[in-house]
Amino acid sequence: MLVLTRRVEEGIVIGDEVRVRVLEIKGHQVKLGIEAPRTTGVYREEIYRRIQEENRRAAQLPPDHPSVLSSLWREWRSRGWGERKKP
Amino acid sequence: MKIRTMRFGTVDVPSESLTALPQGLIGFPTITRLAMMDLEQGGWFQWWQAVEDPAMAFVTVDPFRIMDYDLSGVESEIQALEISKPSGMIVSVLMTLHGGGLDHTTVNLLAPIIVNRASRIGRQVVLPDERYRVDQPLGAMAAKRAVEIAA
Repeated sequence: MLVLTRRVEEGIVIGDEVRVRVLEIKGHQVKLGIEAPRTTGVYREEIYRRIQEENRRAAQLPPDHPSVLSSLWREWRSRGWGERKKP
Repeated sequence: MKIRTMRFGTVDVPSESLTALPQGLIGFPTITRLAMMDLEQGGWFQWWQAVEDPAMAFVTVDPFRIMDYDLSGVESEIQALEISKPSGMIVSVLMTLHGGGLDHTTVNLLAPIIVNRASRIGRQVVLPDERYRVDQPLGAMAAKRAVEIAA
């Protein structure tokens, strides 16, 4: 891992399009400003990992069952939750 | 277009049911195309099959059907997809089936997939301020809604 030391108001540039600037340091907290193209996802690491893990789990479906969705839907209807229109 | 899937064999899907995710799914940058499949009487629930990976298929639902979903905070992403009005947008959340039906199913409300209905280009976005969880229990949520609607 590349390690750089920066002071408040200093920054780093990643590639040609991403800039990270140290805005404020307060105790153990560092406030960063990030400029990146809109197509580049910028996430807090723990949230990124949580979503990555959930995407992985969502793709790991229970053992093959030919009609998972229709049985889920039948269960939904049988509880009387029925149709709810879009607002 | 014919795509290979682990669950459904080789399936011929019309090109209009394909969605492109140029940035990939979060954590899965190579999953850039999803096919919406209507293979069974799933009601609001729909299969989204990853084109690039036969083993990856997701069960999805439009969150606006099941709750008062709040998309605020991702306006710039919606704008970047060139969506100008709500009807021009498809919103879908991924469900995790842990086996055992609705009471064991969770929905990822934190990171919905937003798609431009016309261009079929979309993106998985992250809603801010942690108002939602990645694993919201679907059954409890729907039951609560039903009580609220009845009241």
